[in-house]
Amino acid sequence: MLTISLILLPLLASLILFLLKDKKGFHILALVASLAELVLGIVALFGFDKGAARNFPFDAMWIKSMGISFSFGMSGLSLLLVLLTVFLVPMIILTTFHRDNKYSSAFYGLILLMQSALVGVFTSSDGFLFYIFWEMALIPIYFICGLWGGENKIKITLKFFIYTMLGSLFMLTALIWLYIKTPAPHTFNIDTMVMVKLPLGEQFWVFLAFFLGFAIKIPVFPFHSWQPDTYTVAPAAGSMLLAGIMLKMGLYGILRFLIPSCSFTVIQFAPVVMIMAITGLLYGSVIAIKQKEIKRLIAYSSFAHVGLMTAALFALNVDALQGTIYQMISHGFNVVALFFIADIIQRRTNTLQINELGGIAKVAPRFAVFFMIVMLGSVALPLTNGFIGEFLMLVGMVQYSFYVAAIAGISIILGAVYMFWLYQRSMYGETKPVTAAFADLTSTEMWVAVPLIIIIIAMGVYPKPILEIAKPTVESILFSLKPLKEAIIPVL
Amino acid sequence: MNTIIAISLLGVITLFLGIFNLKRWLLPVIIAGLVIALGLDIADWGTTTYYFSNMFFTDKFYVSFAGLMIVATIVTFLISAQYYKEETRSLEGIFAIILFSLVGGLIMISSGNLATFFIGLEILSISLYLLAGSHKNSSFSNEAAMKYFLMGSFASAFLLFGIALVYGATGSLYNKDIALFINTNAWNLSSLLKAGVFLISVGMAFKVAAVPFHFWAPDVYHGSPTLITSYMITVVKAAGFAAFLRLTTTCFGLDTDLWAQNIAIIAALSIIVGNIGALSQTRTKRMLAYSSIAHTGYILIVLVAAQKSASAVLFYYSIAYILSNLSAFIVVIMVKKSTGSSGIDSFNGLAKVNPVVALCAAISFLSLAGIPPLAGFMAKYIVFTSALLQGYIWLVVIAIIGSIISIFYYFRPIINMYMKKPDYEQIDTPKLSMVVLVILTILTVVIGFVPGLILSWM
Repeated sequence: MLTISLILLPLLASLILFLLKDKKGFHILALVASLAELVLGIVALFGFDKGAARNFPFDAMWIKSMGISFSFGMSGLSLLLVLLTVFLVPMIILTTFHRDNKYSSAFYGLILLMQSALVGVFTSSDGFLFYIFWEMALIPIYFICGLWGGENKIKITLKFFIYTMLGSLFMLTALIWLYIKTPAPHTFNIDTMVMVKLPLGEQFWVFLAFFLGFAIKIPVFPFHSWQPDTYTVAPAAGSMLLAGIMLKMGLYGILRFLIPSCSFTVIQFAPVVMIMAITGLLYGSVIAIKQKEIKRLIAYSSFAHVGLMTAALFALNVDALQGTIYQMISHGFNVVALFFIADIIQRRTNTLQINELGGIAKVAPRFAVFFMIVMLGSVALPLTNGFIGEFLMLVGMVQYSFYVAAIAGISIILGAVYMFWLYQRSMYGETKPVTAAFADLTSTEMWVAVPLIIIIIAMGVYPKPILEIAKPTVESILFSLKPLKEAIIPVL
Repeated sequence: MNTIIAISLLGVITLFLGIFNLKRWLLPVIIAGLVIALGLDIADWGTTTYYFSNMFFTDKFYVSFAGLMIVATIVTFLISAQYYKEETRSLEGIFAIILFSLVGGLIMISSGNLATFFIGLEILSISLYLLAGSHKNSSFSNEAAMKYFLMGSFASAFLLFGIALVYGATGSLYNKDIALFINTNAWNLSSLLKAGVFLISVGMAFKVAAVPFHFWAPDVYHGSPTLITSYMITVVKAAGFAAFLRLTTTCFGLDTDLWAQNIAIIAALSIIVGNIGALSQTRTKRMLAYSSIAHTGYILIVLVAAQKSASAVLFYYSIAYILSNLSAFIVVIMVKKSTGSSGIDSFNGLAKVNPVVALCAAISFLSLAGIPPLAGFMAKYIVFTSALLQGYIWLVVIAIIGSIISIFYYFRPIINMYMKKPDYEQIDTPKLSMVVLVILTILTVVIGFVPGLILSWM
């Protein structure tokens, strides 16, 4: 029941918001709904049983003749991603609470609709349902970016929509293929689907179709061309949803479908994927250094980060997977914080060009501290959340191949370069005309900034609870791979 | 059979109403008559009856499709109230011909003999030639009628030639006997028969506007009066497909090698050409015409791949397709009446002018594009699944690429409605059309969510 309420609550709230038509106080209603959802998420956290394979199950038949059911349940990984979603959405809604807020009630309705779809993706136990929610998440973000986005929004958001739709249709084909290979009567139950033993030749094509779907969503190099433009053109809240939560759908899909169902091909082609992902990491970092605009810089930095995460996923060992899952959570918070910072700068100075900024630390000390902590988290300084994830991922990758880990490690340094340089150029030095009257964080903004700071530091100091929740999922994914790992020779 | 007789009578009554100048009674009588015909149709449910020494038969398949076509015709008449509001000439002629064409469609589906099948097809086609040219003063309409007539009679000739060859090879015009002949002689079928089946397929492909026999479609659909276009794209297409499926299942026998490969290629070509053709269109009607060619491709996959469940899948796809197309055409008519333009630009800012109409239009375009969880998605999903089950992977890949391309043009009106500024203040939304539009939209969503409603039916 809990999972169902987690999905229905934001859905109902969004319907109410659509019908409200800009009556007063709609944004308060959106905030209240997202906070209620947060409470539900915390209830789920406390009621979670690490030993059970499927927590809070809900099963009801939907289309019997096609083996499709309304079934939901949470693994440790699902719980973590649901928690990420329910924590981030109230913050994202709060970031829009400022004086020149032009958003209508439909905007908040779309955010909550998307939240409902995201929770649905992370908790579905049925492949068909997973696909429905996967696409349902795309429609609201399309409208959020298309209606409230910046320059050239129509073209860019359409490209984004079509690109991701292409991937998801191939993913759908892979899902159908697994479905028709399940023992008759066929079923879309995910656990049954991924147990199907496909012959090698078929496995390659299923792998390809799944990978295309997930790689576009993440995005993995070279499927990323939609990403920087979309992140830049989207309104701040849209970028936060995209980078903070939505790209995790792709990583979740790899863990939930790709690795268990195509384990053979995954081991075989892990080096290829790693090369793609590490190329993305290097490429994203180098381009981020050259960026002149803050939002674009964050977009490329996010692209680099997910490159590392994808590479680590395919190292296929406990440390690497644990690290990736940890990093999925911390990257969610860090990137939302970064987009929040970019949004604050844009609203106060009307520009995102780095060379027009400078000296903000002098006039806005609280903002400078907030930015500093977020930046340290995102360059993975010890005792911040970024460190735990990246450290574990590197440990895991060293076990896979020293050289891969070495290249990845070096490119993490590039991350420090662009972040510190951004900080230096925007916060230090002489104040420029646009930054002279830069107002410090307001009390509403503090309501977002302080929880983010607490999370960044707390996750860096005490990672144990999250790692423990993730552990059973990681172990069950790796369990079936064990015998294969020695038997299969990778292609490279 | 009672349905066919009832609707024929209704057509005649309509003509008499015109003679006695009872214009006000025209629509109420027609709609009441069609509702009665629908009742007669449903009364046949669950029984298989043969008429006129097996020339016609009615079964579940016929009853379902006849019901669907009658309902879609009722909707067409309901919209016609708005469409023909300013029309001064009397309409009984047009209305009677629409009814007669419906009769033709029903005869086609219920026939158990190639001769009656051809008669049904001709009743349908000749009515449509007239309807396409029913805007006598419009040169587009005249062009449409001429083109449709020339191409259509060509196709009829092919079909008839095919029927003659099949008769020559098998010695019978009855579907049953032909199927029996093909099944028993599956190992040494004469080239005469193969040529006959091929020509019949070509003739049918002409009639349902499948590539490479589609060249008439965009011009005819664009030139015909919008109401007639909507009727042709929905009711007539459904009739064509139902009849085609009838032929492949009851007449062409179990030997799918005989025809399946050809139709698979035609399906793939239709998907590619239809979707790419729609990309560059600037007029909504033309875009929907190309989109209907693409949908023809998806539906042809059903004939090739769905096997036992083909009739259920085809029925579901037809419903999804008819619902979305009818609501799209209702909006096109509303916008055209208010702005005088049929370009996709005329949708600009509709969401600000009338959010309800815009939402309905958006849902119908999203459904046509196959976005879950709407009916159009479910329909495509079922088609893809059955094609994959039969091993037609290449066909599914083409269908997917086609669906991706289709997003470009289905999203154009949506983008115009939501993201551009309107250049008009309000649009004319008569209550009747609004009610129909909202009901169709709700059905699109409901059927998408609960496809079992229809799939378990057949």
